[in-house]
This record gives sequence, structure tokens and C-alpha cells, in this order.
Amino acid sequence: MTAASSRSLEAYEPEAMRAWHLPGVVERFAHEVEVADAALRGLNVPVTIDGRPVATEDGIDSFDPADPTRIVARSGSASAAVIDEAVAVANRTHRLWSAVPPAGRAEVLFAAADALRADRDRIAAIEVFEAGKPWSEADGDLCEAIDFLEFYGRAIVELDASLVVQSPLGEANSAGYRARGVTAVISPWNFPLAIPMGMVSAAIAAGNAVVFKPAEQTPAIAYEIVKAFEAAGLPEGVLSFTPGRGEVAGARLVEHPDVATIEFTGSRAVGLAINQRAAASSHSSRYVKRVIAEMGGKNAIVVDSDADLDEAVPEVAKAAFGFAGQKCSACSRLIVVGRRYDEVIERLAAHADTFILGHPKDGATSVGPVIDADAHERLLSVIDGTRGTVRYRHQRLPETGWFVPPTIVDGLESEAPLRRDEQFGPLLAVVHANDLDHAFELANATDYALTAGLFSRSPDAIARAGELQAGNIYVNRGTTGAVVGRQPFGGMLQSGTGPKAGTLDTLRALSSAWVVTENTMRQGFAADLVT
Amino acid sequence: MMTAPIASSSLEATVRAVSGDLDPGDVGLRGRLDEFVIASVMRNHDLRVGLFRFAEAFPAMEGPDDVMAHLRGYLGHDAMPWWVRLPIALAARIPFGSRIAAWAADRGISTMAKNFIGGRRAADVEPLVRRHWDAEVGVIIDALGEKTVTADQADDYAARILDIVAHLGRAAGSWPASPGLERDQLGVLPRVAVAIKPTGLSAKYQPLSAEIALADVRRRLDPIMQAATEHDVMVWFDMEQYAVKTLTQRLFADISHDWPNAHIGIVVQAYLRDSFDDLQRIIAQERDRRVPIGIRLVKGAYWDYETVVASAHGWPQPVYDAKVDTDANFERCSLLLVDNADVVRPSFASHNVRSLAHALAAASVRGLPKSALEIQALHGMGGDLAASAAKAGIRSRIYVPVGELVPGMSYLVRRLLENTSNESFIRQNRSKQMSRDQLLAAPRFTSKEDAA
Repeated sequence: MTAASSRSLEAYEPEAMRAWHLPGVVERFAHEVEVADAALRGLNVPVTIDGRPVATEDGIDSFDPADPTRIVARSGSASAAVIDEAVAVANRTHRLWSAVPPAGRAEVLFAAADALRADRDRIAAIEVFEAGKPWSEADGDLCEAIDFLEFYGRAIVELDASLVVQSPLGEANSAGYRARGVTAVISPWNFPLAIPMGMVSAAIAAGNAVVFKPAEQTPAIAYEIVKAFEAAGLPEGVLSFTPGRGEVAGARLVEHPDVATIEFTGSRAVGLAINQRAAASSHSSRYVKRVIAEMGGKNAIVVDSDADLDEAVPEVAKAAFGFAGQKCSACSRLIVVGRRYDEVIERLAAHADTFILGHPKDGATSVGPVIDADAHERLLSVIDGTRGTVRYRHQRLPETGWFVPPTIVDGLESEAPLRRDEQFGPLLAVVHANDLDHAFELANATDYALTAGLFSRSPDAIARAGELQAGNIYVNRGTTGAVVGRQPFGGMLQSGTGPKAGTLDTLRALSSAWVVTENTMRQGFAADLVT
Repeated sequence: MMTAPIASSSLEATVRAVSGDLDPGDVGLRGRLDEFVIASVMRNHDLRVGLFRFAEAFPAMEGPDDVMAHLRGYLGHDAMPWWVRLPIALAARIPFGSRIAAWAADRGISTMAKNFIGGRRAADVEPLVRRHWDAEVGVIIDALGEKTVTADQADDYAARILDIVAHLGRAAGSWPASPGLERDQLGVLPRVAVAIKPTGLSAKYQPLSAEIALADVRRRLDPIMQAATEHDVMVWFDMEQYAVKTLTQRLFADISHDWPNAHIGIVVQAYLRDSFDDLQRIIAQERDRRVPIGIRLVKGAYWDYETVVASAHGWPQPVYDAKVDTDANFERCSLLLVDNADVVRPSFASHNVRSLAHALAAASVRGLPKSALEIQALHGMGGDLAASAAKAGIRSRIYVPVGELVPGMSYLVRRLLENTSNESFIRQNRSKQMSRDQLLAAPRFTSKEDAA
């Protein structure tokens, strides 16, 4: 029982981020970045079904967004027929895998966590090139991926006990969860390891076979998930890997009759489309398809009139511009209460001006590029087309690469795209509020409800933080950097369907509950009354 | 240096003998009143937290009604003693109550701040510095300010340091001679010293951008070193949070090399588990320097912060968990410093009489002249201690924060937290909770590995 209890949810602890200030830590990471720099050119990332690479007619190239002349990886591109093959394999192995008891599945997750841990810096270095992540961000993604494995591994063992049933005299009731069915995972590029790992590991923990389609921009990192599970001894066929185009591979996955559940993280438009198509295709399926979608936000931070600007300014800047604003939890609206409006903007701008924009392979880089040419072009046109006042626009951009300047805009109408739409870039809209009521009203004036923040030193204001409409509310800290086990993550309204990532609820959503009731009375004789 | 260890019996006897030199004696009626108020506040955890948080936020409050709202939020609730709660409730009901409360809060906080902050700028603090000088107590001036998150703030911090160096450096030329402060066994000492917080000199001061950070700091620091050399001012490099310790040690080594004639000093924080090793390395590195460096041994002021950061990140704790280990390590470091007083200039900054008496006793047992060591204490807290040490012929300096009241608040609160912590010798002494024997007892490491 000792081993089991050390692997309880209560004893779970998140993976420690790299402590760059300790001896040798920077040097070790720098070495892996150098190795990746030399090696990452056209890495072969095959579609993998039933443990075997599958040749595809088409391919997809991934690029280094800070230096697009580099092709990082060439992945296969799954056609509808390849998807059908993957789902067929999953459908077959699903029965075998779901018969493995929860503790046995958990062992595989823990072994996968060990595999990632052993290779942490090497995998993080791939992110530096394929996702354009600065070192700390890449390292954070690795930690979170490990966390999901450790968390869901523990959670699945405790899941059945959470379904409490009572047994009166003469009746024996038992209950538990079983796997729901083949799960499709469609993942984004912004947390290219952690988010798909969270979705894949939850589905696998719950006993489901998975068909995993990663984002087109980051197949090489996603492939590390397949490798970690392979190293962990996951039976072949439980996890199939089908990189491909969203409109081909993704669409077929969503509509395939043998797919029971779709886990998706990405844009609102795609999430809503998936929801619709999954519902429509349920008519030709055994399942009423379930969609678990996490779809972004238009997150606001309220800086109250008495906030500590020493804390608020760097935290807001990190939430707005960290990883070039490409996090669903990123702050894209800043609401400043009271007289210090201009002071807050000016200090924020001057702080953003100390950022170092550059290739993320350089450890000093604080802000890297955006993910691809489309995002680059779109974001620049949003800045150029705004009718608001550009209060700050970073000027020191590298000459090559898809860099977008951290930008602060105010004087915007309430329906302006910068105030209304998720931009997924380093663009921050600032609005003035007269008082806290006004600030909360502005913060909540959106269809999204993912994260929100409040900086205040007023006990009354802090007590009201729950009035902010968001799944994750942060007081006196930035809105990014949720940690598994500490901040179960996910939004409400148009930000997603729920349940939150990193909860027992997610495992329940990937499962079906069963109850068996036995009448223990025979011919008037109750066995349980006999002493 | 290979020297025989000091026999603990002779050392302990000397500790008792020299501790008398550090006793501030009677602090007077006003001092006893302050002690009483502090003791009342200290007894109630909620009250302490409420008061500090209120005082810390006070500069940002917008007018009397806002002050009143914060007072009620922090100090008006049921967990507070009646004598705090009642006046606040009353002020909320009477006409002009908010204004009266805001006025009282302002007066209270300003009065406290004036105890700890020497003045707004160099010119304001000059009379205070001169008074100390006449009482044979030196000063180290520290420029208080906001956290540096912008280039302008870094420029501003550097400009304020430069102002202090130029102003006090110039003024010091006309002061009368004070041989005890101007010379130690290794040579001449500058009359004025300034403290630098390296994080104040660059918004990029963090290990991942080490090269850029150091270059950014040097752009602002080299003119300061130039002025300090011209005006004969000593420059102390304060140690801050653990995450930038190595960076600051690197900066110090660079400056030591590039400004070989400058008087410079570095700080070692005894609460850090690796401080003894650091101290050995620094001594080995700097022992041949033409102008011997100063080393200030402190306990360390970021214990809560370091503990929380390491725990939240799952990193090894850089600080000792137990206060007694810090104390024991302080003494181990003191012995190392005493045994190297021929190549570096040791100074000891603590308000714990046992810790200071131990260092002085060790030097005495080793037969070092009194001038070999220096004692440093905080303005507004250790002034009495420094004055009595100075009277006993021990070279003493006061660390004087200079700056605006408003940005100085967070610093002030941190000092207050330290002041009112139950480790404070002065408070323990007066509250009569501990006997003199207990207060002067030798600290022992809680685990054998640390003692090794």
C-alpha cells in the first residue's frame, strides 16, 4: 500500500521547472539547443498506426517560425482512408485496453512520464525551433505534459471510488466507470506537447483507444507523445498518430461513426464546427458523440486603483506578451481603474520595451515569433487597421522570422476587433474604468469566459473577484501558467464545453458510468440478515 | 589559511565579556513606549498582517473614502482587538470621520517612515550623516525605490546613486578627522559608503539573459564606479533574492577586476545553505586584490520569499529552515572571516547581540586589533547598538535608506517585519522572556551534515 499511497492524488506534486539560476542548468539546456539546431532539418514524422509507420501520398512541412528557411520536420498527411484505418485499429484495441484495470493503465502513464523526464531538455529544444518557444516556455510545456501523466494516472485509480452508491438491506449495489469508446484528439500548436498529452493521457487512462491528430505546425513535438507511450509499453494500436490537414483528417475523424468522443483544443470557430458536425454525424453512429472543446478567450485583467504596480506591470506584460500572446489564457484586455490609467500604460510600455525579441534558441529571448506566416500577416494587419490609438509598438524586431511587435492600443470602441475578438498575438487593448463595478462590467462584456485577473490591495475588491466571468480567476498574479493539480483549467460560455483539464470530471467525461443492482433476497430469506 | 580552531570555552567566556559593549542600555520612556506598542502588535498575528498590508497599500489609496474602505477591510473586522476595531467603526459614522482617519493614518505611517528612512535625497540626509560622523559612526547610504521594470527606472536609480556619491563624497571632504573610521589594519578607508542593489540597475537582470544583463548594468554602474573612485566612496553590492545571487557575484568579480583601485564590498547571506562555500570562494578569489574588499556577513532578509518560491517550484530550499541553523552558520562564516582578516575586510550586520559578540570575541581570541572588524546596523533599528559599539571602540556603520516615503513603503514594511520578529534581541531582552544566558547561548546546527 505504500507505493499506492505515494501515488495518490493527495501526494501528487507538479514537476519542477528548470531553475536557471542553479549551476549547470543553463549550460545543459544550451547544449540540447545546439544539438537540435544542428539536427532539426526535415525530420521524418510518419503517420503511425498499430505501432507501424504508414506511408502517405501527401506530406506536411513544419517550419522554424523564427527562421522559416528551416524546415523542421516533414510529417505524413493522413487521408480519409488512412483515418478510417486508424479508427478501425482503435476500435479493435479499445476492447482490450479498456479491460486492463485502472491501476495497470496508470502504470503505463507513469512510465510515459518517466520517459519524458529522462529526455526533457531534448524535447524542449525541439519546441524552441518548431513552436518558437523561449526556453522557459518550452520547459514549462514539458513539465505540464509530465504533470498530466502523473495526475491522470493517480486520478483514474481513484475515479471509481468517487461514484458513491448505497446498498440497503436486501440489495447489493455496485458502480464504476468504463471506457466510453474510441477517442479522437485534435490538438493545437501553442502547447504542442502539454495540451495533446493532457487530452491523450486522460483518454488512455480512462481505457479508451485514441486516434491523435496534432496541429499541422508542430508534428515533430507531437510525435514525442507517441514515442513516450511506446517507451512506456502501451500496447500497439491503443494510440494511433495521424498528422494531417484539419479539413481532411480532422473532418473525417469528427464524422467517423466509430468515434465516440472528440477532444479538441483550438479556435472557437473550429470548435463550434466540430460540435455541429459531431452532433449531425451521431445519426449514423452507435454513439451520441461527445465533444470536449476548449476554445480560447478574450481575457481581461483589472488593475484596481490601489494595485501594486511593481507587481501588476510585469505580470500583465507576461500574461499579454509572453509566448507572443499565443496562449488561450493570455491577457488581451487590460482594464485600469482610476487615476493611474496613463501611468499604468506608460510603465507597461516601458517594461515591454525591455523585452528582447529574437530567435528563441538564444536563452535571453523573452518574446519569440508568432507561429506562421498567416498569423503574422493577420496580426500585422490588425495593428495597422486599428482605429484606436497605438500607445506602444515594439520597434526592435529581428529582420527574418514571423515576428509581431508587442503592441498596446487604447481609445477603442467596444465592438473593435481588438476588444471583441481573440487575436492570439501580442496585442493588448486597454480600457479605462471609473470604478470597480464599471471594471467588472467591462471585463464581463464578452462571449468568452476563460481566464480573468484582478490586481488590487483592497480586501473588499478581492472578495468580489468571483464576480469576474471566467473559468479561472487570478488575484494579484498574471492569468497564464496554470499548473495541473493547482489550477484545473478551462472556461465557460464560448470558451468551451468543459470539463476542466486536470480533473476527475475530465475522466468522467471520457467514461460511461455503470451501476449493477442485485436483489439479494431469495424466497423471503435475506442472506445479509443472518448473523 | 590554516589555523588551529578556537577553543570553545575561551571563546564563550569572551563572548560574554564583549556582549556588554553592545548593550544599548536604557532606551528611555519613548523607547519603552515603542517597545510596548510593538509588543502589542506582535502578539496578534492578524493585527500585524492587517497593519503591514494597510501601510504597504496606503500610498496608492485615492482620498479619505478609499483610505476608510481599506481601514475597514484590513483592520475593521472581527479578528481585530476592540481598541483597533472600535475607532474605525466610530470614524465610519461621524461627520468627517474618513478625513480624520486618513489624516491619522498618514501621520502614523509618515512618523514610522521617518524613523527608518534618512531623508528624501542625499542633500536631506547630510545633517544626519554628519551627526553620526561626529559620534564616530559611519554610514552606508541605500537608495530606496520602486522595483526596476523599465530602462527609465534603472537610469533613475543610477542617477540617484550618483547624486549620493557626488554629494556626500564632496561633503565628506570637510569633515573633521575620525581615525577610527578612516583606517583599519589593512589601510585607509573611505569616509562614505553607498549600497547598490544590482536588480535596480537593469530590468533584464535574470540568469537567462546574464550577458545582456551584465552589459546593461555596467552601462550604468561604470559611471558610478568612476565617481566613487574620484570622490573616494566605497561601493557595497547588496545581495538580493537567490535567483540572482550568482549573477551578482559575477558582477562583483568583474568590477573588482576592472576597477582595481576602487573600494568595494560584497554581502554574504548566512541563511543560504551554500553561503559558507561562497565565502571561501570569494576570499580565495579576492585575497590578492590591491585594495582588500569588504565582506558583509548578514543573516538575510528574503527568508519568506525564498521559502515560498522554492516550495512553489519544487526546488531545493536555498535557505535553512531553522533560524538556529542560520545563526550557527553565521558563526561558522564569522570564524572564516576572522581567520582571513589579513586579506579581506570583515563586517558583521545583525541586530542579534550573540551573533555580533561571537565575531568580536573570535577576533579578540585570535589577537586581531579592534580595527580589523566592523559592525553594521540599520538606521532606526540598530542605531543604539551601533552607538554603544562605537563608544566601546568598535568601528560601526549605520545603513541608511534614502528615498521618497511612498516608494519606500515596501522596504519599510519588510524592515518592520524583521524588527518585530521574535528573533529581535532588543525585544526579547525587554520582554524578559529570555535570560541573558539564553540570549548568549551558542547556536548549534540541527543536523550533523550542516555542521560538517
